[in-house]
Amino acid sequence: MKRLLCTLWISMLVVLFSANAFAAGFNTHEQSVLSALRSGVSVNGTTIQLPAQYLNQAENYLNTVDLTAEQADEIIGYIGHAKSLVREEAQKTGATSIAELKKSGKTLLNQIVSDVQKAAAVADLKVGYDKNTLVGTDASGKTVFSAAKPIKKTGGDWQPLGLIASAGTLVVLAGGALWAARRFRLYEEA
Amino acid sequence: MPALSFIGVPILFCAIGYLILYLSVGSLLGTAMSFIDLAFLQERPQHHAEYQNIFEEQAESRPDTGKLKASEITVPGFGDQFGKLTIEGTQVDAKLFFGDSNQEFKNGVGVYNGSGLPGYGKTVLIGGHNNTFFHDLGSAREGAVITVETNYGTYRYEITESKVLQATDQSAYDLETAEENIVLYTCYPFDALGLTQERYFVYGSYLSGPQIDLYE
Amino acid sequence: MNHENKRRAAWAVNGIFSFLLSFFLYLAILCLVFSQTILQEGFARQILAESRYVSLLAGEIRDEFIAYGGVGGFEEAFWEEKFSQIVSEEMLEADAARQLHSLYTGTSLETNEELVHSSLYTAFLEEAVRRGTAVDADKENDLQSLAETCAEVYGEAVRIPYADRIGGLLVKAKTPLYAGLAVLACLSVLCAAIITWLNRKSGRCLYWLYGGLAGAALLSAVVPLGILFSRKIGKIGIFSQAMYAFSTLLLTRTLYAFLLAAGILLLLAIVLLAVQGIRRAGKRPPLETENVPKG
Repeated sequence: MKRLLCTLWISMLVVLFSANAFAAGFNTHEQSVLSALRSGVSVNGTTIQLPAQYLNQAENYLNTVDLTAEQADEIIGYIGHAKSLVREEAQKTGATSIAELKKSGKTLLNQIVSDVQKAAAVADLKVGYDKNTLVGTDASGKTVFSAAKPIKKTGGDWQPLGLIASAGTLVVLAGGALWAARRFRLYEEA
Repeated sequence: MPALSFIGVPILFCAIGYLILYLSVGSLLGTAMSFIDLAFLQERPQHHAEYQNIFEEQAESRPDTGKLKASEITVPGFGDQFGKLTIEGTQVDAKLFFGDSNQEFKNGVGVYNGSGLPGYGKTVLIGGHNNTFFHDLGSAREGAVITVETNYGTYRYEITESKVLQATDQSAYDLETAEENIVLYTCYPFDALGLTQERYFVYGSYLSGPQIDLYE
Repeated sequence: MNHENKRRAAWAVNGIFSFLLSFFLYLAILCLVFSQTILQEGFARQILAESRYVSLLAGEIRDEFIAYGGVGGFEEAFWEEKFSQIVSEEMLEADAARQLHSLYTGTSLETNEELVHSSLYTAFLEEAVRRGTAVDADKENDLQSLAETCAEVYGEAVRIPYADRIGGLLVKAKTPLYAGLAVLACLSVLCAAIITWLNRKSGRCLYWLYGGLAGAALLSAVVPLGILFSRKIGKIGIFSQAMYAFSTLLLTRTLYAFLLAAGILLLLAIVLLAVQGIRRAGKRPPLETENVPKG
């Protein structure tokens, strides 16, 4: 029997939630996070809400963990950022629902996924693949959610300056050593 | 030539070498490491069909009334067996899991993790195979009682309706309702050969069971 | 520059070139090992065979077929008889080898998904007829749907995830790695030559060469040993048992290759040290007792 519904959106948002200890129920920090999720995005004269099954997954997972104030703040920050991306795209395309937003291509999805990746790195959740299906797992490898679509990775911000500087230093060092060896006839040392 | 230099010099070269590498490609390595770290777990992944059974582990108090604080119960993780489901007047008697992947359906019936758990005051959506644990779901009649024993309480629901709908019909279930109810489903027809698009739904309204306060 | 300062400067200069030798040798080892392991299709094929990838994959596919087939009315007994006829190990091996080839050439090669689809449909139809089930147009659609689902499972199972991206990287990495290897080997030889020239009178050439080789050996061994001892590889989050077995063995063997290279370098370094020791012993001045007049 196939799962009835499982989309990338909720799986990504569920991944945002992290915990260090198990205590059922929602503490105040988790309630703040849930409020941020429930409030939706008001745009184009309507409010784009997260579908109920996604909120449920978020609640089900939050119910097994305890968020600290710092974690919750960071997560709410990512939710806010993701919402602003959604608002921007909806204003551009005139979308009034998630279904309409999905039609506008993968750019928005990739940007939201980038937020999720960062949150997952802070949290104890890992995002991996079971064949081509995105699977979110906790530290022990237990599946906490699964999605139908794969996830894209974010890029690095490496500047080649470090490599150039190191290579340059080595060249200068070798050249200087060679010059000193010839200048002071160090090869005559017994 | 001091003997220590034969060990000390290679160690010194090793340390300087790694330092240079760190300075050269350290930031790229950092990004790569955080990416690679996402691919690794803290324990070996489980490839065999083992599941945690918190239902058997917590056989003591399973009240069927009152209120419970969320902090007082052990909430099941995905893939855990946390209960048992039986339907009056049928042969349905299955282990109840949280999660609805092939693994859970192989061993029993599973709660969709995008729905609520019994006691949450929401829709509890449970699926199972029609050739195993839900093979007799069609015998469930209106007025019969669905009993869901969980590790934290015993719940009863009265069957109100059964119907056949398309698998993609989103009106088949309401996950937004704030009223506790149960929806069981399986593939239809029960003796179908091949994958059909129809599902057999059984709906039940809440009768009894401890309500969970998620905010305590 | 007085004698003592000259001696110290000579040591410093030799130390610099000995370090450069170890560093360039290490980088060359990196290029060599990666180019001869992960970038080699033959190496990957060997790992594929040793990790029992095909038989593990067959088991996984069979479990999925049983799960979907069970829903569609085809029990485990049906699969016990039919599975190996529909999905033979030879077919799986061929598909796995093809996917590996496409990974290393950056091309896209088809799997036997269509063949599996048609074989499954035929098998389902025959079974339906055998059971005396009337097969009308609706029933045919249901059987097609089941065959399609199972064939998709097969196709997804044999395909290597993100093969097109990984393949692209593997193909692009070969040339830079070989070029890097050549350049670093030349630089290493140059450093060795400079050390030899610097020490043609002092006779400490082998000592500094030893430092370079031993340093490179240590650089090559430390990280792989650390990874192996931490057992990090076993914790890779791959949930397909077949791909897990393949990946962990591939990574482990690659690390072993680094350790082999480190071992060879260390051996060479010890040999140089031994030769240096023998030379030094041969140059020792005669003992004083030889000059004592007999009387």
